[in-house]
Amino acid sequence: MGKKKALKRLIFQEILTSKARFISIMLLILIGVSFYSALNASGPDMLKTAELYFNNRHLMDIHVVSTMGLEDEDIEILKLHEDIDQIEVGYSQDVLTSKENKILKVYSYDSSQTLNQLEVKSGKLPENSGEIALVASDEIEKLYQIGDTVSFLSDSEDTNLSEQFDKSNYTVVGFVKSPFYVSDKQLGSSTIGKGTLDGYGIIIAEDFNLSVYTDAYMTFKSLKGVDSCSNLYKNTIESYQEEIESSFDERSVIRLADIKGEAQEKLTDAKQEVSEGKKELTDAETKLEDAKAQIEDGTSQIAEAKIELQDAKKKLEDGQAEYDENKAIFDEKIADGKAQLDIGGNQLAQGQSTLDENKEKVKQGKAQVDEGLKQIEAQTVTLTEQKSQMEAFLEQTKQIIEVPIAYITTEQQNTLIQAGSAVTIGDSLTLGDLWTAYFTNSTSGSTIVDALESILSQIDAGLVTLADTKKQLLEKQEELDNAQAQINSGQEELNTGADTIIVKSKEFEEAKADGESQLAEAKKKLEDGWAEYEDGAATLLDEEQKLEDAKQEYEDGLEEYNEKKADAQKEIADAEEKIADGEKKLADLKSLTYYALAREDNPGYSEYADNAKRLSALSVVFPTFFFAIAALVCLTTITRMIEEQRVQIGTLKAQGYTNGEISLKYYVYALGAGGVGTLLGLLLGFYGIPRIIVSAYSPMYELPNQQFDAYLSIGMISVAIAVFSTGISVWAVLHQELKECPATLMRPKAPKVGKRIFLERMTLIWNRLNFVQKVTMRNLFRYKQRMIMTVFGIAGCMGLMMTGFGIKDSLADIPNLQYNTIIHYQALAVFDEDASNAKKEEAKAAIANMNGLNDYLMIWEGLYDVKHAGVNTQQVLLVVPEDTQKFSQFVSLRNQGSDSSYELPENGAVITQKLADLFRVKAGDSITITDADNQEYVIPIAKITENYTGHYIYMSPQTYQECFNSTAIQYNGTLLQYEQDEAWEETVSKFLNQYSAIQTISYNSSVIETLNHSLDSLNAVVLVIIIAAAVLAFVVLYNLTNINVSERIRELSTIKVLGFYDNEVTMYIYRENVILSLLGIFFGSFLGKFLHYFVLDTALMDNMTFQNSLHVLSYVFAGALTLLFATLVMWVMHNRLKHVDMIEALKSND
Amino acid sequence: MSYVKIIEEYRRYYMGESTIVANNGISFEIEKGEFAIILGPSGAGKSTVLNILGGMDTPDEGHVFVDGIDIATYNSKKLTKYRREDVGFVFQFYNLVPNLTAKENVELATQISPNALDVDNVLEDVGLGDRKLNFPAQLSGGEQQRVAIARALAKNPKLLLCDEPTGALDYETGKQILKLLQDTCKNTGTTVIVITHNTAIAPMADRVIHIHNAKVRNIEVNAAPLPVELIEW
Repeated sequence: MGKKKALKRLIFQEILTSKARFISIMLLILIGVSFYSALNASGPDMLKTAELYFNNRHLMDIHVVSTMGLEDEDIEILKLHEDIDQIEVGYSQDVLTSKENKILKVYSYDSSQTLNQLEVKSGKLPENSGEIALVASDEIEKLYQIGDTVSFLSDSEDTNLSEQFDKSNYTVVGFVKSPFYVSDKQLGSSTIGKGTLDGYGIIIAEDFNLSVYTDAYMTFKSLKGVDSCSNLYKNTIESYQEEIESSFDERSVIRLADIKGEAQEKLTDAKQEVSEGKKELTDAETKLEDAKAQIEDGTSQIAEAKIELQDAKKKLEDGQAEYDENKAIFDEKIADGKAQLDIGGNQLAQGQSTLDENKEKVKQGKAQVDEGLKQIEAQTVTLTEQKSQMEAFLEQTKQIIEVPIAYITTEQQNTLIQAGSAVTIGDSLTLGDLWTAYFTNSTSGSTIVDALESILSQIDAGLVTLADTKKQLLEKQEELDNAQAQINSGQEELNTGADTIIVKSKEFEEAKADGESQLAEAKKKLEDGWAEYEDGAATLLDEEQKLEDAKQEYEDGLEEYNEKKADAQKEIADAEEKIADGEKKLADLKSLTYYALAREDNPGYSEYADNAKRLSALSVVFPTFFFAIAALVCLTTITRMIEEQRVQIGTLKAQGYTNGEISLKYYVYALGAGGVGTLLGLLLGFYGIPRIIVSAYSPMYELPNQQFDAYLSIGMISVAIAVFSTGISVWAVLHQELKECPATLMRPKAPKVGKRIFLERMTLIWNRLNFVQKVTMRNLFRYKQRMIMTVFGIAGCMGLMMTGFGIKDSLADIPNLQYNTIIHYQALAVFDEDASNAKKEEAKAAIANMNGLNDYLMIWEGLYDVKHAGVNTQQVLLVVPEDTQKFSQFVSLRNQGSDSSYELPENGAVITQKLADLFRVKAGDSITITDADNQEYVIPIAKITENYTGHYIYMSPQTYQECFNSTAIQYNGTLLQYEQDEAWEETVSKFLNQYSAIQTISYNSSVIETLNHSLDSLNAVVLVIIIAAAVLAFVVLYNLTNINVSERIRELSTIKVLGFYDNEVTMYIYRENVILSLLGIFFGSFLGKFLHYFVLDTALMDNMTFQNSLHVLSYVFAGALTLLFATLVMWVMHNRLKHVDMIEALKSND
Repeated sequence: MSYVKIIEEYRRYYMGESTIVANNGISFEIEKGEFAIILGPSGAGKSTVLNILGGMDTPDEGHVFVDGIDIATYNSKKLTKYRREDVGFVFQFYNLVPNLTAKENVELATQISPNALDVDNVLEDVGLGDRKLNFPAQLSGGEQQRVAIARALAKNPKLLLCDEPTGALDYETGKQILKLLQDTCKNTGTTVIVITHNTAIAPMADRVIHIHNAKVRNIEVNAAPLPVELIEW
């Protein structure tokens, strides 16, 4: 065992001393294995994940629906299936919702049911009426939050929401995921609106008002725990589907008859209703007629009454006039009488007052006279006295004057003066003054006597005047007495007059009273007449109002009648049309179809499975490369290793070790590298890379509990390939070397002999090369094996990256190619086959008049299968345009790769390229298509046309009639051509959904979106490919350069000693790598193109044609990246070469 | 100052814990145009001296003056330039590039040397005028060593350094090579330094430097060196 121990140590040392090589081989195997296993495992992983999810959620195996829902009898039939495990029923209904016109499929939820369990993402499931749980998708969660209200709307006038749902508003209580849908982006088609679902919702079953169940879900005992991807499952399900569908053969006929009977009954009822409605209408009309007649009577009566009233009024007015006249006369008379009386009275009063005045005057006159007389008497007395006095004075004076003054004493004088002062003698001279003057001798005594004698004459004159006055007064007294007598007689007359007036007044008052009473009587009569008239007028007014009311009532009635009549007539017409429709439908009601749908019919499931399988297809191509290159690298490495250790091998051999024992080291080394690489590769391939690949799909599919499993078969194959590719190279090299005898081995192998290369014979070129180039060329050709390997590795790297980029290119091209160069319509509107012609025409007219539409073309379209042994059954859309000339505006027909298009031929069909390729048919052949009832039709092929997605057969109406033995074509679809955005499409959807004749509208824009989705998911895969290619390039270049350096270390040391700078040394060896890299890129371009073609052509989908032209940019990117990796290796090697110990290398001879 | 002057030069190799002193304070001088021989047993440190002189190694201590410049202070880049322009190296095992013809091997050196000589002339001089288009494998050992010498000389170096140039050759051929070196020294005035453990050839040198145990033991200056033909061993 000792020697074995030594051997083991040798192996160990070997690995340690040549880490880089060991790691290189290991890495290449690792990449190869990881890629192989990852691409192979990802698909099954995805399917397993789905499987686990479905099983956890108890997804049904078969989902039964029918064109007319399911009744209890139907369920009973389903229950008869012998293998049935569970069956549950439920409701579902597509509905339009208020926010952004999203279309939801609403499912019923019953907490007692166990199938198709929902996964609650947030909130809870609906428990009460009016609660809804919505799909947990970005699109819906963006619109609603828990607590919000979802409002259901009628999508068209034909839809009666209350027939479907109990309520129209639901409160969001949670967000859920249903196992029906693997993707919340691909929810399948809807029967309403724009034709695709935006989400789904869950409400309790009680909130549904549908009369029949819509869905039955079944699971089967024998399929419990059976992998739904397995053939067993598929075959069983297929046979069950058929069994179930055929189990309804009888039932569908009976139920159809029932439905027909029911419909007939309903029709009869409807007819009854219509006729009742008509009768009601007639009754109403009669009533209105009557009312009208009555109103007319009333009107004429009122007219008569009005005339009577008019007469009465006239009479009253006459009476009034008469009364007014009489009253005026009477009033005048009264006024006259009164005036006369008043005048009389006045006159009397005047007479009296005059009389009274005269009386007074007389009385006063008398008094005056009496007074005068009295005064005269008094004055006569006074004057007489004065006369006597004066006479006395005169006597005295005459005496005195005779006496001289001096003899008259003073006393006497005074007495004279005094006595004289009382007597005035004109001009304020008194007798006294005169006496004074006399005594003073101023005056003569005669003056006094004259003065006294003048006074005496004046008194005498006075006395005479008085006597005259007295006489006059006496006369006046007499006159007064006469006047008094006259006054008295006047008074008498006045009194008589007054008496007369009193009598007259009395008479007048009597006459007045009499007249007044007569007038009052007349007035009363008039007033009574007016009152009567007013009453009459009021009554008339009332009557008129009543009539007016009656009229209004009548008119209202009439209007209502007219209004309702139109409605009623329309209703009746509608009802009659419906009855007609119903009758037609009833007549057309050929079959009632039951469908048993499998899991793969669930939306998105097929694509999910396709995506999963597509990955496996890629696993054929890429890993092969890595394995091949790994084998090559391994070969080179082991070769070098053995060359380096010839002496050791020789020594061992000389010492008696067997070939096997010597070989062991190398096998262990190579297989060790391969084994570790395989192990790590499998780990990475099973648990690492699938995560990246699956995450690439995660925007589309978000399934819980993603499974990452190891697969024994994949592991075994990987190990086998790894062992083979490493082991074979060791064997190849050792096989050669070990044949030689130890002596030869122990001698150093002569260094590879330099020789002229063929290029040197082409002196023209050779002489033009400078020295360095010559050296490079010679070195390149010296190591052909390595050269080829390097070129192969780089080409592989380039090719891989190009394939990665190219797959993206080709996929990215498809929408553009298909929808810009081939298909020139933007949407397809499909008509409801059952719609009446009138409705179809209406819808057609609506389309024709739509704003924003460029053009449209009526087509007939139908889906058929093309089957052929050894080829997957393909679905093909048969399109028959109404106008074959116009068709070229909607679809370009042309040979693959040709720019000139042709028109749809009258005879024979045009089929698409991929279909022709798949079934290996060409122009002139025929192809057999199968319809849903398994009826086969043979279609002659006139031409083959370029196409990229899906399969189509186009034919003229004439060809259609020939192939299908049909006389008339019911065109059932319209191609729509427009240049509008998606917002417009949404409004169009809404607009066209009003027309019940239009069943669905499918937009190319949504197809393009889906295509782009899958494109995005490829990004990560492309990235993985690029990383792998990078590692490949790096490992190959590094390993080769490494071997190159170690093999040529003396050479390199020599030139170092000769004084080559570091970069010159690197370039001395790396110039070769650059050339090899460029060669690799060159060959890689072809390889990439081929690989790309191969992958697209064989590995990808049946219903897609990929343009295998690569974009220039992909070449550039791949080339640039390859050079980048080469540069990276150069940089690493440069650092290594810098530190080469030239002395050590040059010291020995080996 | 002498053309070549090494002063107190030390070179130590560190092998884990132990230190090997290859050159332990070496000092000597060589004049321009001299044919010098460095003599000593295997492992004495003579190759190390030559490597340091040839710019392939750097001393840990001391000065190495070549034509008045201390190359001990050179960095790796300067050393490369020094090797490129001023030094010709001849190895025991020739170290020709097997993939290049004799002429191309010489051209490898002249390509990068600024004051290179004519390749054909040099090959003529070393006596290979008619074999210059042969690959190394097609040449005998002596012929290969002549190519190596031609390659060293073609640069027109200041120093021609030869590390056991006859070590892999037979007696006669070795003699011829030594003669070529001696003639070259005489005819071109190139300073030639040869390392050998063969004491017998010492008389042909102008100067013999004995190195023992990493130290210079003795320096002999030979006033009248013998032509190599007269020396027998």
